[in-house]
Amino acid sequence: MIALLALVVGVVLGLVLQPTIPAGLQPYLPIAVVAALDAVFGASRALLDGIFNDRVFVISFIGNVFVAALVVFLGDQLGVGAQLSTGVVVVFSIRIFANAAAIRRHLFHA
Amino acid sequence: MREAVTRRPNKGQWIVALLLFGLGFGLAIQVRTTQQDALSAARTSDLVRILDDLSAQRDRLAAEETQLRATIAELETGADQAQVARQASKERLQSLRILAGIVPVTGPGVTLTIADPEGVLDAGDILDAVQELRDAGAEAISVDGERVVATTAIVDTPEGIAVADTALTSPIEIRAIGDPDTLTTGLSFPGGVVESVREAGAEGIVVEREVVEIAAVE
Repeated sequence: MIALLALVVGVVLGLVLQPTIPAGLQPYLPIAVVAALDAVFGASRALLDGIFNDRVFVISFIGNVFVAALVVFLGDQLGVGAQLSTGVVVVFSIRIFANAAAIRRHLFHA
Repeated sequence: MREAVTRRPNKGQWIVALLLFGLGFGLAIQVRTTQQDALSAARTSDLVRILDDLSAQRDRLAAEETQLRATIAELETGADQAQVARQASKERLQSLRILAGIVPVTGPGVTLTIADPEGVLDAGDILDAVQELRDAGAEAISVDGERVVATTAIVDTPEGIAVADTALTSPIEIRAIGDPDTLTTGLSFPGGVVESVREAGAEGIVVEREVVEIAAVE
């Protein structure tokens, strides 16, 4: 599956090239990664449910990343950056857990 | 799902692939960054808190260091003082031993050899000699091999002069350890021991020596 291949290639390139992130973007990268992970888990669950739609995935991926970055940015401006950042990560974690549980039920019927 | 595997990737799947590539890329970078320098990804407020913690720790350690240095200095002077006291005690012990005559002594000094074949001298003359030597700073004195200390008896007996219950026979050898010049002057000045011995009819000769050996009290 080309999607999985692309993921692997991305990881390998990231490890090999080791580019430096501009300092301004550095606090947002982990948030963006977690948001993207949530979208991926959601897509995997949809795939197993048979209702996967690539357009839905693309929009949810980009949307998650954008909204997460926006919320964290706003938090930094307001002075509650650490708290909002924590909140965003927590919310995405909850969603990832939910999707993972659904995937688990599909795969192991348990 | 089987469809997704067997079909040729369409445009939608390319875009998905692209996004997943981005995810993998970002994931790898973020993990690397965190491994190398966790601080660079921290938020400002976290960094401030970390800085405060480190400053407080630094202050605490600096205070501890000062205290420990003070303790070291205290212990060192304490050790020095103990050392000095110990040394002083040792020296005192040694000089008391010498005074008491319980240790043999070796050092520079003089020998006073008195030839008295006719026995014209008495205990008083020997006592004068010993006293004069003491006044001249002799650290240890012996008369004919008998160590003379504060309790040594120098008396006249029918057999002659006795020092520590031993009769003296001419020539009488008096040894003293101390500064040779001072001791010689102490014996040889006008009106001193050498002169009075000569007037009594005996002969006394003072010789400065580099090494004089005096035994302990028996």
